[in-house]
Amino acid sequence: MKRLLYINLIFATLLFSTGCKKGFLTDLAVNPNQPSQAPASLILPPILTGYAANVYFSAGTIGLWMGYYSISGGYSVDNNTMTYYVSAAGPSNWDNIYSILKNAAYIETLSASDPNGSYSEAVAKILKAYGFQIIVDGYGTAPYSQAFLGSANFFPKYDDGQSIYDSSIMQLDNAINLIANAPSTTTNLGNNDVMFGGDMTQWAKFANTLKLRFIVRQSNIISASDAQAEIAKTASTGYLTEDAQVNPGYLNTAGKQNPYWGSYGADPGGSLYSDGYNYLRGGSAAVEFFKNNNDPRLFFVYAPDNSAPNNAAFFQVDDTTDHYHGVYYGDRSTASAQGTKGTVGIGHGVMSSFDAPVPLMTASESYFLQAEAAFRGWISGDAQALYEGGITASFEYLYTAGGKTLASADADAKAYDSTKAGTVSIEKIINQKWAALAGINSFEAWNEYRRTGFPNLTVLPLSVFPGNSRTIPTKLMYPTSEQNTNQDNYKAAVAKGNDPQSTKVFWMK
Amino acid sequence: MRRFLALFAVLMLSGVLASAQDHSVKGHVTGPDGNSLPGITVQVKGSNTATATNSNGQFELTVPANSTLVFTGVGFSEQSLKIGDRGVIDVTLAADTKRLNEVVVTALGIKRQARSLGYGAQSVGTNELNISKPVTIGEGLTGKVAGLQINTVDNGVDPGIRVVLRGYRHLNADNQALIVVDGIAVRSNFLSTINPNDVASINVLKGASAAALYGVDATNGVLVITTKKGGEHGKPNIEFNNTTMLERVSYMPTLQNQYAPGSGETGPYAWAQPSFVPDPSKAYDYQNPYTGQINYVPYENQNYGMEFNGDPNLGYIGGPTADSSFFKTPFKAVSPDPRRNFFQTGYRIQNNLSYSGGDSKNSYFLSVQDVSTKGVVPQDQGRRTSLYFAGKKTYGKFSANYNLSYAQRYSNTVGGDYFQNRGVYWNLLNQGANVPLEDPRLTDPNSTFFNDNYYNAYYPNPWWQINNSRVIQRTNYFTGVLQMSLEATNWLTLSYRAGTQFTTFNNNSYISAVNFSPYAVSDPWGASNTASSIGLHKNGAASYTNANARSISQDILATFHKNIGDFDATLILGNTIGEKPYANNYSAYTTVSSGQLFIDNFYNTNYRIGELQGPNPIAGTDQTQQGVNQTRLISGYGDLTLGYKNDLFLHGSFRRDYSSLLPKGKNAYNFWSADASWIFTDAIKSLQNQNLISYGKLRVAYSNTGDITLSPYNIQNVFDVGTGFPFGGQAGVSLNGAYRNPNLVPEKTVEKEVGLEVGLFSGRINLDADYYYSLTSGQTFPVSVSGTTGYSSAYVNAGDVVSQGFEVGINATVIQNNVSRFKWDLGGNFTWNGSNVQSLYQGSKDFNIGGYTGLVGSDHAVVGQPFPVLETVDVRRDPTGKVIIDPASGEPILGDTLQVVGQVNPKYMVNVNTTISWKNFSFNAQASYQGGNVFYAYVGSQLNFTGTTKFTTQNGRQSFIYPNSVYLDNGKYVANNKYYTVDGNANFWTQSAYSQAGTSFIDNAAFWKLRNVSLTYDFKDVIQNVHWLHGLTFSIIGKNLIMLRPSQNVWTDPEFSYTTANNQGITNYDQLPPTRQYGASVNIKF
Repeated sequence: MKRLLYINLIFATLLFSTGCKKGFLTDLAVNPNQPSQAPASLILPPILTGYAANVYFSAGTIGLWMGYYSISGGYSVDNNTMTYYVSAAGPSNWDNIYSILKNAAYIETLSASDPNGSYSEAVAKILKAYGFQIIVDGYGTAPYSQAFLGSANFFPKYDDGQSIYDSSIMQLDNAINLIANAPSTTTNLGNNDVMFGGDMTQWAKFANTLKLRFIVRQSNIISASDAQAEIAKTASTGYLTEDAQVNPGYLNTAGKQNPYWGSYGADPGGSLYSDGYNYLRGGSAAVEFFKNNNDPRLFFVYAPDNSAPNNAAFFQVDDTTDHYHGVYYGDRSTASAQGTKGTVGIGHGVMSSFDAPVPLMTASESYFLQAEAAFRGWISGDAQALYEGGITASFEYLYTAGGKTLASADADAKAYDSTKAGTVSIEKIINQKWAALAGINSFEAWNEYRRTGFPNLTVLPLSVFPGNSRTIPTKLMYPTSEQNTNQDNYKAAVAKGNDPQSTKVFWMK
Repeated sequence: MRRFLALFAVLMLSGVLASAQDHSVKGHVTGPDGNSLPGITVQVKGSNTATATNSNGQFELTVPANSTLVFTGVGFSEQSLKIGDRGVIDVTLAADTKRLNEVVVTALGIKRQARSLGYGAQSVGTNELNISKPVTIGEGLTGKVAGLQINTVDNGVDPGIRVVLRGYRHLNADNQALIVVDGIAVRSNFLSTINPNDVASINVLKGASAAALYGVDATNGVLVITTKKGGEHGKPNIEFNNTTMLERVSYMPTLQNQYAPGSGETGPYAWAQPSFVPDPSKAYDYQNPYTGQINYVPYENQNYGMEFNGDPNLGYIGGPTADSSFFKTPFKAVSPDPRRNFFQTGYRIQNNLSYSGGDSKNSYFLSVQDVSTKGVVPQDQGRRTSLYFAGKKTYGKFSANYNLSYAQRYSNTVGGDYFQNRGVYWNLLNQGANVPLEDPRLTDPNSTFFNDNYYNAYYPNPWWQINNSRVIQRTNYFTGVLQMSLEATNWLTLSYRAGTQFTTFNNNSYISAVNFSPYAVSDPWGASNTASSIGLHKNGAASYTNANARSISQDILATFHKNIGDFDATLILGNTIGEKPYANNYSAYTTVSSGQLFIDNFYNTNYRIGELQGPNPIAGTDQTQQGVNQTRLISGYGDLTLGYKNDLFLHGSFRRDYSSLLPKGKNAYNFWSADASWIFTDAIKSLQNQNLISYGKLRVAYSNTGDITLSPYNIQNVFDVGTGFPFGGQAGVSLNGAYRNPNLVPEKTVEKEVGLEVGLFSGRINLDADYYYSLTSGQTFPVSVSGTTGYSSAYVNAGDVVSQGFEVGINATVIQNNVSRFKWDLGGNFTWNGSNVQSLYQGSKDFNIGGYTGLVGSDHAVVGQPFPVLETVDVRRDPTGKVIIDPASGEPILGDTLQVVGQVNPKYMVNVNTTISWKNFSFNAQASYQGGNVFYAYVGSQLNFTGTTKFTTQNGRQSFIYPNSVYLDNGKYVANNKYYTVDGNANFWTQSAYSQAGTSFIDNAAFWKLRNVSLTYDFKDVIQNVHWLHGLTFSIIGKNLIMLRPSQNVWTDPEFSYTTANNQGITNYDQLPPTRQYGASVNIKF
C-alpha cells in the first residue's frame, strides 16, 4: 500500500511537471478541426465557383426586367416582384460578393509576401476588381478602403463608386504588370485555376478586357482622351478571344451541379427542382427579338414547352419557330402557364448540362466592348468587324453548348451578320450584346441598359402593375443585413436619394 | 471532528464496562433534518456506561432498569430520556445552534465551519436526498434548495435535466451550475449517472461568491457532491434496497371524439374514384351546410370531417386494398381512446446493494446499482448500471482516500419515422378518433393494413415506427479520484488530489427500409400519400456516432492554520491544473451516417450507395464528421480565513487562471472574493443564553469572478471546405464567416450578497434568507456584423445583464413529542429571481438566442427586459387589448412584428416540504410552485393543425363571432357582434391569423406540483430480536401525483423544454405527455 502511495506521489509530480512545460496552454491554440491557414492555390477555386454561382443570381429578377423571362402563370407572384420593387430582402448578392472578396483580399495579402506568388497575387487583384465592379454597378457606393479589417473596424465607411472604379483599374494594371514581370520561379496555379488552368496569358487578357469594361462603363462621364490614355497603358496585352469560363468539375451530385442547372435544371435523381424550370418562362421581349430577326439562337436560348431538363427533347434543337411563344411579363392569365400556349423555358444553349462551365465573361462580350471602344475611337480597329465578331462569338457559344458544331455556328452567324446585323452603332452594339447575354448574364445586360438606354423601352416590359409609375430600378437596395449592422454608414450612403431604387449609379447619365 | 470527539468520549468512558445485565436498549438517533447521526455518545446518566452510534445512527447498550440515557454530540443539544422498560428508543437531536460547528465541504473540497461562511450555501444530506428514492440526483434535489432550479425537460427513459442557480446571467453561454464530484468537475449530464445512494452530501454553493475559488467557472454557482467513503464504526454493514415504480401518462391534451378525419374540404368528396363513394345519391346529414358537400376523408390525418354518427358501415379505415376489400368499423370514436392507450405502463426498478465498514481511520464502501426502465412508449427501455468503490486509509499523519466508479447508461428509444422523420407522439396525434389503433390489422406487421394500405395517407403507422426506427445510446463512465493529505506539523497540512473521468459515448440509430406494393404506389385513393411519394422501396438508414472524452485534473493545497489568543487564521495556498470543466478537457467524436443502405435490415454504413461527404455535408446526404476539442487551465490561488472569538469571520480568496481558450499574453486573469460572517448571538452579550433567538448570523459577500464562455479554438479565423467542394479531385477552402476575435477577454461577474441566518425557540425554527445582486458584463457573444467586413458575425465583449433575487429557506419542528414519538417538521423555501438586460452591443436592443423553428419567434435578450424573454407575433389588438378582426373574414389580423410576451424562467419558486412521523410511521410530502413566466406549447399549435383536440371543437366547428373582438369603423374600434368568421372548421384552426400567431399557444407557465409523497414504515420493533437483520423499512411512494395549472394550459407540463440549452420556455411534440409514478420501496440492512 505504501508503495502504491509513493507511485501515486511520483505520478502526481510528473503530472505537475508536465503541466508546467512550455506550450502546455498555447499548444491548444491551434484548431485541429479547421485549418487556420491555407495556401492561396486552394482558396482560389471557391472564389471562382462563388462568382460562377453569382452570375445566375439575377435570372429570376433582373432577367424579368431585361425581358428575358417572365413568371409562369402557374405560380403566384408577390406584388414586390410584379412592381419591380426590389425590397431589401430581395435579390442581394451584397453579402455573398463581399464574402468572396474577403477571400480574394486574403490571397492578395498572402501572395504579396511570397516571392513566388506573383501569379496568385495578380489573380487576386483581378478577382477583387471583378467583384467590386459588381458591387459598384449594383449599389453605387460601398465600403472599399475600410472593408475586411476585422475587429479593427466592424463599421466600414462607404467609398464613392468613382474611387472604387479608379482603384480597381489601377489594380488591374498592377495585375497585368505582375504577370508580365513574374520571375521564372513563380508558382503556376495549374489545375487549381479552375478558369484558365494556369494560363496566365488568358488571365492578363481577362484583366485587360475587364479594364476595358470599367472604362467603357464610364462612357457618359469620361473624356475621350482620358479613356484613350488609360486603355493605351495596357493595350499590348490584348483582349479575350475565348470565353472566361469556370469549371471545377461539376458533378451530378446534390450541391455539386453547375449552379444554373442546380436551380433550374434537374436534380441528380432526374426530377425538376421545385420553383425551378417551370417557374421561369421565356419573356416576350427576347423571344420576339429573336423571332423577328429570324435568329436561330432562339432555339438555344429557349426550349419549347414539350421539353424540360429531365427529358431528352430538351437537348434536341427544335427549329419550329411556331413552338416558341414569349410571355409578356405581367400577363397573369393562366394562358401564360407552362404547357398551355407553347410558352418556352430556359434552353439548352444557356443551360446545357449539370457539368457545363459557367462564363464569368464571354468572348462575345469582349468583342462588343472592343467594338464600342473602336466606334468611339478609343482604340484602333474595325468597329463593324468587331461588332460582327461579337455576334459570331455568341452563336459559337450557344451552338457548341447546344451540341452543334463550330462550323454550323459560324455559317449561321455569317448568314445572320450579312442580313440582320446592320451597320454598327452604339444602339446596335448594345442591342446585340443584350441578345448575346440572354440567359447568360442578366446583370450585365441591366448595367448596359442603365448606361445607354438600350434596348429601348418599347422592347422591355416596364413595371406592369396597374397604376404603378415605377420604372426599371437604377440600383439595388442595400440589404437588410447591412442596414442593421452598419447603420450609420448605411444612412450616410442613402442620404443622397430618397428612393434608393431610383438613385443613379455614378456612371449613369 | 464530531466523530472523533465521540470516539474519544467512548474511550474515556469505557474503563468500566457494563456488568449489570439488566436490560438491553436499541435505538436510532437522527438529526433535525432526519438524517441518521453517527458518533453520538449515548451514556447512562450517572454511570460510565456508554456507547456511540454507528454509521447508521444506531446504538445498542445494556442498561440498568429505570435509568436515563443522555445523548450528546458535537453540534447538537444534549438530550436526556428516561428509558423505563422500553427496549427501543429513537431520538431526534436538535441542532445546537449556539455552537453550530457543522463542517461543510466548500469550493475545491476545502472543509470549513458552516458558521464561518459569509455566503449562501446549503447542504443536503444523503437521507434528505434519497427520501423519495430518486433515480437521479437531479430528481432528489429538486425543490430542496432555495435558488436552485432543476428542470426535468422531458419524459422518457433517460430525460435531460437542467440545473440553474440564481437565474441566468450569460447571454450566449450555458447558465447551468458547475457540478463537482469529489473535486472533479463533470458535465451536468453526469448528474443523471451517479447513484444517489452513493452520495454522502451535496453542498450547494449558490452564487459566484461562494464559488469564487473556481475562478473562471464560478459565476453559475456549484454543486459540490461528496460521495460516501464508508462507515466509521463497528461491523461491516450490508444494505439492500429495491424500489419499483410504475409510470403512467397522467394527462394528454383532451382529445375530441366527435369529428371524423377530413381536412375541412368544402370541395368534392375526396375519393379519387367516384365508385368508392358509399352512396352518392343519399343526402347525408353531415353535408357541409354551406356547400352541400360530403365531408369525410377516410385517409386523412386531420380531423376536420363530419360528425361521427355511429353508422355501422360508414367507418372506413382508409380506402380499398388491391383486392377491393375495405377495413371498416362503426363510424364512431373508439373507446377507450386508443391514442392514449398506445402509451403503456412503464416501470423503473432500482436494485441497490452496498457493503461498507471501517473505523475512523480506515473504511471502505462498495456499492452496485442497477436501474432498469421501461418507458411509457412501447419498446422504449433504458438501463443504468453502476459500480462504486471507495475507501479511506490513515497512517499516522498521513491519510488518503480514493474512489473508483464505473457506470453505464443505456437507452433504446423510438426514432423518427421514414417519411418526415417525425416523432412518435406527433404521428399518434395525427390519428383519427375512430381508428382502432389496437386492432391486430394495424398492429401486426404482416397485415396488409399495417403499412401498404395503412389508412393514414400522410403519417406512418406508429406501430411501424416503434418497431423499425430506433435510437440506441450507450455511455460508459470511468471515474477515479485519489486524495492524500499529510499533517506535516500542527500548523501545516499538505494535500493533493488527482482525478480523472473517461467517457465513451455511442449512438447507433437506424430506420428500416420501407417497401410498398405497386398498387399502393399507384396512389389508388388519390391521396398523394406517403406511399406513392416514397416509391416502391426506400433504403434503410443508419447513423453511428462514437465519442470519447476524458478529463484529468489535479489540485495541490497547503493549509496553514494558526491560533493566537482570540484570533484564528487559516491560509490555503493551492494550484490546480486541469480543464475548463464545462466540457471535458479532451473530447473527440466521429459520426458516419447514410440513408442509402442497400441490404434491408442490415445496418452498416459500409453497405451503402453514394459517397460520404464531410465536413460540411449537404442536408440529406451521406456524411461523415469528426472533431476534437481540448482545453487546459492552470490556476494558482490563495484563500484566507480570519476568525475572531469564533463569532466574527473574515474570508477572502484570490485566484489567477491561465486558460488555453484565449491567446497567449491575454490568457491570464485574476478573480477574487471577500466575505464576512458575524454570529451576533455569540458576540452580543445580551443575546446570549436566551432561547428566542438562539442563533443568529449575518453575512455579507462580494466577489469579482469571470467566465470564458468561448468554446475551444475560437481565437483564430478558420477555413471551411468551399461550398460544393471537393468536386471530384478538386479541393477548395474558404474563410469561415464567423470572425474570431483575438482581442476577447473573459466575461466579468460582480456579485454582492447579504444574508441572515437565525435559529428561533432553541432551534425549533431555522431561517436562512439572502439577497444577491450580480452584474455580468463584457459578455462574449457573436453579433451580426456588416458583410463588408468579410464576415457575417463576430465575437465581441459586450452586454450587461443583472441578476438579482431573494432566497428564503425555513425549517421548523412544529411538534416534537419524544414520549408519544410524534414529530411534525415543516420546511419550505422561496425564491424570487429578477434578471434584467441592461445593454447589448453598440446600442442594439435585441439579441436572438434562438428557438424552435415551429415558433414564429424565439428567445431573446432585450434591453430593459428579463433574460431571456420569448418573442413572437401576436394578432393585432386595439389599445385596450381587444382583438381587431377583419370584417371581410371575421378573423383576426396577424401582427407584423415580433413582440416580447414574457420571461421564460420562473420569477417565483416556492417549495414546501413536510415530514410527519409517528411511532414507526413516517410521512413525507413535497410540493412546488413556479410562476411568473410563460411558455410556448407547440403541441397546441400542432393539435390545431390535426384537429384532434377538444379545443378545436369549442364552436362546434361552425362560424362564430371571435370572442372579445373589435373592428375598425370610421377610424374607431367598435365591439364586434356581427361579423362571423368565414369558417369555423379547418380553415380557421389551421389557416387564420389566430392559428398563425405564436401568442395563441403561449400560456402562463405557472403550476403547483405535488412532486413526491412517501409513507414509510420502519420494522425495527418487529426485527429487534433478529440478530442478522439490522434494519427493515418499507415505503410507498408517489411522484408527480397532482399538477395544478391555469385552465388555459391544456397542453403539457410547462417545466418541459425542447432543449437543455439556454433557450427554455418552448415545448414541442418531442416531449412525451406528463406522467405520474407510484410504487414501493424496501430497504434491508444486514
